[in-house]
Amino acid sequence: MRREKKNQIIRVLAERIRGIILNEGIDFATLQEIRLREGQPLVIRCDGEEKLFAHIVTREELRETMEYIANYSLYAYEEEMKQGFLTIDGGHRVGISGKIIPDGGHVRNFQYISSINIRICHEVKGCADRLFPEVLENGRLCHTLIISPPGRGKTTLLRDMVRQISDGNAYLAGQNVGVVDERSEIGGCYQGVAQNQVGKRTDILDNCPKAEGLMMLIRSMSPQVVAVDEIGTAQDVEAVSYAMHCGAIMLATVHGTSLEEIREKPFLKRFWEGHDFKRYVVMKESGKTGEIEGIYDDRGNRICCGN
Amino acid sequence: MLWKLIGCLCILTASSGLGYFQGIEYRRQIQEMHCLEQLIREIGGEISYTKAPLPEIFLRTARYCRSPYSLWLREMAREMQEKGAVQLGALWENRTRKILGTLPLDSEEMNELSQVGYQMNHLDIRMQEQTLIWYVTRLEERRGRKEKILYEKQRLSNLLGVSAGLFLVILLM
Repeated sequence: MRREKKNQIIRVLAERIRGIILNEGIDFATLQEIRLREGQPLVIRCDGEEKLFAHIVTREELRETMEYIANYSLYAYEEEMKQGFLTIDGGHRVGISGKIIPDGGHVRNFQYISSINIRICHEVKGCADRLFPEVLENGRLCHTLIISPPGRGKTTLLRDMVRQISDGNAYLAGQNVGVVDERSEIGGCYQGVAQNQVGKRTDILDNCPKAEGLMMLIRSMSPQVVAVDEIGTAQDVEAVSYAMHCGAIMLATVHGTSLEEIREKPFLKRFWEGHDFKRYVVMKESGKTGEIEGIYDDRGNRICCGN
Repeated sequence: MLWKLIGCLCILTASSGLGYFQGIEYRRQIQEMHCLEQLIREIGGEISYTKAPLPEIFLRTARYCRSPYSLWLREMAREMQEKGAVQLGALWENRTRKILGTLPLDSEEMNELSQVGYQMNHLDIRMQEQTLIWYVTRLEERRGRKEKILYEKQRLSNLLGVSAGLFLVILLM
């Protein structure tokens, strides 16, 4: 059941905040985030511009919002909350912060939630169009790593690549794609069904740890292409490396600002040294969201300039 | 004389019947408590095992239980999915009183069941389970107490029914 974006967002907000946002007549197509901080003004970001409201967010409103976000079932999101975020219907990411309950050096759970940040997921169909001729070599898709700072559109780009590879486009015939969607951001799954368009030949492992999910997908679904978002830990790198050597083409994203940064990162430099990824797509740090700084090959040669 | 006799018989049958049905009502109350106990246990089991959100669990459990419990669970799941600016405690209480209000439960039992929603929605799964275990334990204890005196209560209501009938017959004769 696919709901309108406006409805998906509005229905998780506390009643009072719903009213304020609806009265403001905000364009939900350009809405990027809604921030609620206890005792602070309500803040939204639309099309890169921040807007502060006179309304001061209360603890009760935060509690009410959390109740709707978690479908009246906070316990069901215990694992996600330990990581500081959860994903709601439509793939929108809700970041939370506050006082945590520590447990032997780990985060057990939240004791108090004092801030909520709702980041709106945007599907931009066709945003990967200009990548396609560049990420192919002799008509075959290359292992590709997208490097981007947070909030610059790497997941949106990856999602569109997955959709186009799965459905097929002018450069490629449709292929089976496996997606390990640890944070439900790529597919925006609701009850296991992707709410975002990820293509007709795509299998998603939703809410599954990347390292484990990659192994499961390769063994069970024999995908031709595998996609994962935000690799970073040693286990992720190990699993990605394993998947790449099993015959599947890897599409992955990572936080970073430049190719040089990736070359220096302790876990990731092995990809560079081993020439594992054949293409590196680097996104711009500033300017319009989704802009590409350049596409590089495995030797660091820029094969395409950004937009 | 014949009419008087028929009248007396009718009074006796009606009052004995009333007493008998009162006894049956006691038994039904225990059966409903037992049913509720099983239902809450099932919900608790689903929470522990699947860790799915409540609306999903309610819809799944509703498929395997009888009316009015199935309607109660379905209605709660529907309202939760709509998120009509109602908090869980209020939503639970409202639906419980409206849909399960017809069950032969004591006011004390109904109040306790209505309040369960206010103690749910914990951040921690163990606390969520404990809330349900606490409620089921209390329900079980009360059912146990009621079962112990069920036989006496049934006999008493039968006896009272017959005695009341006899008293009326004597009074009218």
